[in-house]
Amino acid sequence: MFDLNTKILVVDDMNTMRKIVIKACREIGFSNFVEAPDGAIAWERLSSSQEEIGLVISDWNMPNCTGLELLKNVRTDEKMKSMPFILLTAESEVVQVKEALEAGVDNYIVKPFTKDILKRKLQDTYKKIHA
Amino acid sequence: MGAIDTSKGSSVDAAFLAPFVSGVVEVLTMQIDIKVEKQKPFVKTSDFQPDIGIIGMITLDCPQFKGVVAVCFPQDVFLKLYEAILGESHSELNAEVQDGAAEILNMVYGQAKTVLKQKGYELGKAIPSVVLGGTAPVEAIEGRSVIVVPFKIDFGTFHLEFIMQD
Repeated sequence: MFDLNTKILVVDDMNTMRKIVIKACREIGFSNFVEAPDGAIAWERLSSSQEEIGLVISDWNMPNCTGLELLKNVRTDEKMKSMPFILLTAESEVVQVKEALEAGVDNYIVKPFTKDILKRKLQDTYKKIHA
Repeated sequence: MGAIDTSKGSSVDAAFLAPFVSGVVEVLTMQIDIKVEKQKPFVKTSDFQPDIGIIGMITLDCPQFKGVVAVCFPQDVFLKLYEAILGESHSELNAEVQDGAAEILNMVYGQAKTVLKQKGYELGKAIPSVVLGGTAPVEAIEGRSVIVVPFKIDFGTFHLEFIMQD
C-alpha cells in the first residue's frame, strides 16, 4: 500500500468530487493533499519543485486540460513519467478504458465509489507498480 | 417496457428513462449507504408545486430523448444529503455546496449512459449545470411535457424531472 504520508494531487473541476475523494482518502489514513480544478493547474502543481507529489487521482472530463491529457503530459515528462496515476470516470466505457490504458494509466475508478473500492484500487495500483 | 404517453401528445420510451431512475438509487446508495425509495412516476401538472432549493440539470439531444433531465432538491433535503456525503454542515446553498447537485446528476448520467449503451442507445457527453430556487428547472417549460419521478429518503423527498422538448 502507498505510504500514508504520500502527498496526493486530487484533480476535479467539481469541488464536491474533490471533497469526496479527499474524505475517502482521509478515512483510509492519508492526510497530505494538493487540489487542482483542472488538468492545466494540476500540471503547474506537478511541475512545481515545491510539491513532492507521490500520487495523482484525476477526473477524466474537465475543462482546459482533461485527465487524459494530463496523464499524457505526465507520461512524456522525464521526471514524472513513473508517477502513479489513477483516473476517475463517470462512465465505464470499454473504449475509454482502453484509451487510458494505452496512455499509461495505472488504474481507474468509476464514480460513484465507496471508501472500500478506493482502498482496493490504491492497493492494486501499488502492487502493480511494485510488481 | 413501452412508451410513456403524456397529456400533451408526447411520448418517451420508458426503457430510456429507467436507467436514470435506477442510477439515482445506485449513486445515493453507494455514496452514503442510504435507503432510497422510488415513488410512482407521474406527468407534471400545474398542481405540482414543490418548494425546490437547488436543481442539477443536463440537456440531452439524442434520437430517443430531446430535452432536459433534472434532479430537484428542496434546500433542507439537499443540505442534509450533502452533510451525509461529506460530513460538512451548511445552513444555506452557498457556492461551496452548489456543484454537489451537478455532481450527483453527473454520476447518475454516467450510470445511465453505461446501461443505455449496452442496450444500443448512444448518448454524448453532457455537462451538468445548477439552478437555484423556484418550482421548475427552467422557466421556459410552460407547455412542455414533463415526467416526474419522486424519491423518498430519510431526509425527505426529492425528484427527477424529464422535460421533453416537444
